[in-house]
This record gives sequence, structure tokens and C-alpha cells, in this order.
Amino acid sequence: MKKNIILLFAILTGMFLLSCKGETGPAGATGEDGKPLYVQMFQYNVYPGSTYQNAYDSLIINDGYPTRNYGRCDILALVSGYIGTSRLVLKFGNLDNFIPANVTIKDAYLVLYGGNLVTFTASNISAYKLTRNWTEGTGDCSGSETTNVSWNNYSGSNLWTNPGGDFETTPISDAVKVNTYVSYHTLKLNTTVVKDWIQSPSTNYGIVVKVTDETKASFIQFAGKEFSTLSWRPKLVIYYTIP
Amino acid sequence: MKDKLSFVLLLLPLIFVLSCSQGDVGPTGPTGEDAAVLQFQSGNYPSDAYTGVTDCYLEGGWAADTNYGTIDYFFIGRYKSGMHNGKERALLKFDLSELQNQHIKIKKADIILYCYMLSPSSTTITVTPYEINKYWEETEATWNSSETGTNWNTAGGDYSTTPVGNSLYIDKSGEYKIFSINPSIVQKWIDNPQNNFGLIFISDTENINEDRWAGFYSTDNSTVSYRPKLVIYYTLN
Repeated sequence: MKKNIILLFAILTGMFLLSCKGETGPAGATGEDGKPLYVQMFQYNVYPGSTYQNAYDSLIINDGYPTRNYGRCDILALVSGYIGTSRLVLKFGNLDNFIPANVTIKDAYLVLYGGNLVTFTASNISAYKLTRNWTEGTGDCSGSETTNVSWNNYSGSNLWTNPGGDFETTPISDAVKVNTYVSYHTLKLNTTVVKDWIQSPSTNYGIVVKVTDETKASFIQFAGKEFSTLSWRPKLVIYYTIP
Repeated sequence: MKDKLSFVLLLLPLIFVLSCSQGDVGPTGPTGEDAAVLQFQSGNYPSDAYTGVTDCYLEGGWAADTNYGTIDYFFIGRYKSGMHNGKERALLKFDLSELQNQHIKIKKADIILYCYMLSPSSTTITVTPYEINKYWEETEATWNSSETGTNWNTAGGDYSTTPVGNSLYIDKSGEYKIFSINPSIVQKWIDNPQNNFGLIFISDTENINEDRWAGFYSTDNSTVSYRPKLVIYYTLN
């Protein structure tokens, strides 16, 4: 009798242990759907529409003629390491007319089309936030006027505090490599800065794009906003969600 | 003793049932990715400045050397009227090169065409898109040639025989028709624009020796909203 009880107890415990492995629970709930990502592009005479002309760009260069203006030159050249140093100033304005102020900026990109003519090297470029406004000017690719933005001046004969542009020294983009293969180059911009351009348009002075290490040789050419192939012109792409 | 055994026998199933409770509910799935939508339509989307759509149609038989690249419609099927008696196929290309290197991962793509006419009006027709694999020139391509002086390898257009979208059964005109296009093809148009030769739309009625075709408005149509449209749905990577 006692043996039987022990045996029974053993069987019961065994069964309990074996059978207690409950069935797999029901599948969890489906996750939330992603939000619609609104996209707004800005490109001179292209986006948001063919009448958009609030994009501005120019190269500035310290090649011995640092007051020359190239505001209407269709090529944006980024030179460093030998014949001088050049940088680009760019600005996309009127953003607040197309994007509501209360949105969440998810991503923003500056897209530049071109390549590096120097075959033995590849250069990184980055964008920096300008802290002073500037006037684009009408100089052609020979630097035909000297009364607007240049290496030395932000407007007229008004000098930058620092020749080459007054900008915050911490980049507001990733560093993007430009090699000799001509293609689109996409700089991912700091979304807080882009949000400021929408919320406080009066302090949107645009950006400087420069070779990250200007001691290295590079000869980059990008299409400017006057370039005949519309899709090659500098483009700002902003992705946002609505609260 | 017997009573005890019966009791135990009764108890066992009870324990078994009670001890087998179901596991916990699984975790909630991950939140879906935020997705963006862009449309492409000549003169309209993404803006009025976009002109990257090219199209024409090819007609076999009597018109095998005729180009239909500037006409505001295209025919798909078989056209039999007067001296005409040939297969008709439409070529359509969207240039998406301006999106290259911009972190775009295509999830879904649709091409929307406006079917304005069926001939005869009672006909039914099934249209399927295929990928073209040879360059063609909109204002030069014919049934025989991809561009002036260059023949297709196979008259009627060189294409990969695996469809790149759903076949659409059409039994009614005067409405938009939506083709769902393989996202990987559209991704290729963005990543490798040099390999984007567009699509060819072919119908099941082209081999029937009767006048049976569907007419669609082309990118040259004066009514902008009738022009072929590509809609892409994508996430950023």
C-alpha cells in the first residue's frame, strides 16, 4: 500500500511537470502602422514648382581676387590644396510657405550633382551653418562683379568677420565622399537646423559647403542653380510627419 | 483500495487539464516604418517642371516602320482596319534618375493609365507589363527599330518575358487602370538609371486576327491628369 502511494505520487509529480508546459500563448498585437512621411523638395525653378526662385548659391574663392562674386555662375567649384581654396554658400528660402511650422522633421538632405576632377584623391565635404546673411549677386563664372558675396565680403564692401564666411565650426551634416564618378551626392542635414529655417525664416542664412580637410587637394565641380539640366541643380529634400 | 484507485484515475485527468494553462500573450509587433509617397506625371508631379516620361506605341504589319511617339494616345492589342492589321504594344518609361543616392527604398509602385476606349466597345482584353531591355528613342522607335538605324533584336521590342506587374483584365473604358509594378524594378530605375529602358505593355488579344485593342492617353495628352502616372511608396534607409 505504501509503495503504491509513493508510486502514484511519483507518477502524479511526473505528469504534472510534463503537462505543465502550457501551450504557446496567442500572438501579440500587430505593431502600429508607420506614419505618413510627407516629402517636400526645393530646387530652383523645379520644386515645389517651376516658379520657385528662393534658392541662392555661389562659390567664394581666395585665389588672389577674394572680392569677386560668382552668383550667376552655373558651376559650383570646390577647390582646395593648390590654386586656392573655394567654398559654396547656399540657401533655400521661403520654406515656411510650403511646410507647416508644427511638423516633426524626420530627415533632411542636401543633394548636389557633380564629381571630383582630381583623379588621385577623394575628398569629404560637409555643410556648416552660416551665422550671417549674404547677398547672392550676379557675377558670372569669371567673377564679373565685386559688390556681393565673396571670400572677403558678405555683401557690398561689408567684410565677413572671418574671410571665407562666418559659420558655426561644428558641421550640420555628415561628411560625404566625392570621388571622380560624377553622380548625386547626398548630405544628411541636422533636422533641428532645418526646423529653425521653417520656424524662424528670418535667421535662415543658409549654409557653407566646404571640403572637410582643405589642406588636401580636391577640385570638385557641382551643378549650380543656373545649370541647364534642371534635375542637377542643388536640391533640398525635407521629410516630415504631422503631429 | 479499488475506491482509491478510481479516485486517483479521476484526479489524474483533472490535474492534467488544470495544469495545462495557456502561455502568455506574445509581445506587440514592432511599429511600422514611416513611408513616403511621390508621384511622377509629366508636367504635374512631383512638380510642373517634371518632364521625365517618354512613351510611344509600336504597330506591326503595314505600319511596322511608323513611329507613334508624339501622338496623345497609345493602343495595346490588335488593330485591324483598312490596310492596318498588326499587333500593338505600348512603350513607357519614367526617368527617376534624380532620386539616385538619396536613401530611397521602394516598397510599392503603381502605374496608372487612363483607358479612354475599347475597340470594339464590347471587347475584353488582358494587358501585362514587361521590362524592356534595349534603349529606344521615343520619336524614332517602331515595330522594327528601337531607334533610327537600329533594329530590335526581335521585331516588336526586346523585353524580358517574365511580367513585372499584374495582368489587368479590362472590360470597360473611360476610367483609370492601375498596374502594380514590381518594386525591385523601380528600385533599379533609381539606382541604375542607365539600365532603365522602361516597360512594354502587351495584350493577350494581339494574336487574334480581329480588331481588338484598348486605347490609353499618352504623356503627350493635353489633359495633364490623363497622362501616365507612376506612384512610388518608399521608406528611407
